[in-house]
Amino acid sequence: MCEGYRTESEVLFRESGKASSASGIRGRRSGSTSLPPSKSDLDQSTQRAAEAAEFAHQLASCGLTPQYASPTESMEDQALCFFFSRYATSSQPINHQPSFYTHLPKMCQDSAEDHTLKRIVFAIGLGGLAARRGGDPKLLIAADAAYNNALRLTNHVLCERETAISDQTLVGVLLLGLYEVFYSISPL
Amino acid sequence: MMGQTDVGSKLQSSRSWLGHIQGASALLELRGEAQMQTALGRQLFEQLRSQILLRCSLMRCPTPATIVLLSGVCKEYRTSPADGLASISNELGQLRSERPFRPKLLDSEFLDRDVIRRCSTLGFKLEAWRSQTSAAPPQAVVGVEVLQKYATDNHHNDIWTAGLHNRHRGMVIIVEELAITRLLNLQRKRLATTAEVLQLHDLRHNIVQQVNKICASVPRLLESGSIEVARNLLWPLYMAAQLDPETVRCDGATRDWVLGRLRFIGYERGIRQALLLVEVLSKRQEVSDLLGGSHSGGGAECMDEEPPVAEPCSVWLRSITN
Repeated sequence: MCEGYRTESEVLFRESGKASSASGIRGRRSGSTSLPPSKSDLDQSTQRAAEAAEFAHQLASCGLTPQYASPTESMEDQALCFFFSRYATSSQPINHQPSFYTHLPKMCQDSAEDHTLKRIVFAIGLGGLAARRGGDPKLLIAADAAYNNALRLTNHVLCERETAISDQTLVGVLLLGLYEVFYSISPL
Repeated sequence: MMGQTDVGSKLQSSRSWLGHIQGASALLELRGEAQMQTALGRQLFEQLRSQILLRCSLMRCPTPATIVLLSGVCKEYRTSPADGLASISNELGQLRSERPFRPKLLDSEFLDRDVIRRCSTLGFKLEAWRSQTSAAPPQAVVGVEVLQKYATDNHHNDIWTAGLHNRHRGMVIIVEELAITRLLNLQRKRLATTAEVLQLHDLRHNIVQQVNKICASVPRLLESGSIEVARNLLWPLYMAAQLDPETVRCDGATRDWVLGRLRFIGYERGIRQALLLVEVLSKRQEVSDLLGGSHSGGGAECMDEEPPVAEPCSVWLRSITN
């Protein structure tokens, strides 16, 4: 049933934090705008906001402006999607031999606590985007910064024997090598 | 930007890449035999083994003992055509680490003939591997129209197998080039027999064939659009173009075509290492020498010296964790 035009207050853009906007969208979809957001929603939103802020800080430190970000997808999402579209999906149908790339999405999820593998994948994805945009220098610098961050996290993971011998760590080191082959612009 | 960066920076990246491979080798050692109990563990091992073997080939050093040991364990779970090639690669790595890559006139006849004999054994093993692995690759026709000539390899439907065959061809080139340098050394010392002079001709002819076969495989592999496949083409293409004209004379058009493909992989596929290889090949340098591979000083190391020992993997682990 048509509910008629929305009122002006419903279509106004308001200055609000990511947490409240996320809960607002959720509330509107469920048709109960008066319900407060749950604790888990707030936790997730806070985490996303923290990640976005960290990434924005990384980009800003490299002199990047928001012009590189799509209005619908963050640069991180674009980089991750680029990586998985070029590696995790393309390697499967053409090779009879199974490849570890097919396990990567799940491994990235499993390593969600320390983010190391995801950071490495992000660096490669960003490098790939830079190469795709004709070797965009700003993106290449951002990719190198992301790579250095990933190296630091890997060093941390290698300090503990238990994490050092995990599949995720081995894949991470393999991918760090891949970054050097593909995109690295500055000597370590 | 990518094309403007200097060779030093690209070389440093390649050295860092080799460092990561060494690191992965250390992790494989830490993970031990237990890693072979899962399918993913075995896949990771096989993936890394090919890179470790490539590193050994570039650095002219023997395969780490742990990798040889783990290969045996991996084989107990499942066999792969890559196993046979890895085993031959181990032997080749040992030979290249023991004997100088560039022979000297003062090298003994025994040394020259020892290398030729071992190369001949490796050549037989490589041929046996090829005949056992899938369909025989096509015989490329050597002609003037380079592009037409290289658009013929459609035999390997499986791209992974096609990649393995290119690795095999690269190894054949290394083995036969090594044998030729020793045969030429014998010839310079007027010690070569008629049979050896004929062998020289056959080896040169075979190397040119291997180069053509590598080139023939390129169009379809690049057509797949896979960045991983493009990366796997780097070293076979490098092997095809690095030949010393004094050892084997390949036609200039073929070399130019190979350099063109490497540029394509570098610029169009965004794989920066391809551009390093283009620069190294254009200057007629050798990447192993630039990366600091052993025996780079033109054969200063002779058989009197102790053969180099495979680097302990724990060294990398210590350096990265400190």
